[in-house]
Amino acid sequence: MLAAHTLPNLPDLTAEQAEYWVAAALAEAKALRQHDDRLYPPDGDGSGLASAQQLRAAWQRWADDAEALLEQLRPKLRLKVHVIGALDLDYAIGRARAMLTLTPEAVIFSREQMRRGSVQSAEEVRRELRAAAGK
Amino acid sequence: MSYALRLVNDAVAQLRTLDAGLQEDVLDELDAVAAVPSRLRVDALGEAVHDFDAMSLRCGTLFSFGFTATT
Repeated sequence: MLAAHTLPNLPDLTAEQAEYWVAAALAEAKALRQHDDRLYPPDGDGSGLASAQQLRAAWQRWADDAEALLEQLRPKLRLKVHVIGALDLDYAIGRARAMLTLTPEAVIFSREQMRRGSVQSAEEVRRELRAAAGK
Repeated sequence: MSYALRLVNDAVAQLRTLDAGLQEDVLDELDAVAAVPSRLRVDALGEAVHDFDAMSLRCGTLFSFGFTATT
């Protein structure tokens, strides 16, 4: 996990120093993504779910640390100081946060819905949503 | 080869929470992926997670989310 938040006076980082921390955070996210195939186990039994929960916890920690780093860079970014990778980090945090909202349990439940045939075609969904929006 | 798209009730419920423009964007993207499934990186379980970013012009916010498709 990122050591950046344990160091004092990081708000005084130069842009060049910040870029190293941003690169480190992005590298860590890339390493975590190698395990994407374990995020959603086939069922709620066995070690798959525990493994998925551990991986999600790692992503949660990463997102918190990366966001703390980005917050420290905000004053520089607001002053239009260019920090290589800052936009990529912002995107990666958004992606991680979005992924974390989709739990393994929800995916398992969705699979069960599919098995039961509780599904709608895309056209049915489109019609329903448009009707609700008054189009 | 292409796939016919079916959405589970949970997915529909989540779509309803988005603004109307983004709902259309998501369905367009789903249709596009179903038409060209080679865009998906399918894992050993026959599932794929696909990232999709869309800019909601209405609220000026960048959304980033993924969806899981069983192929």
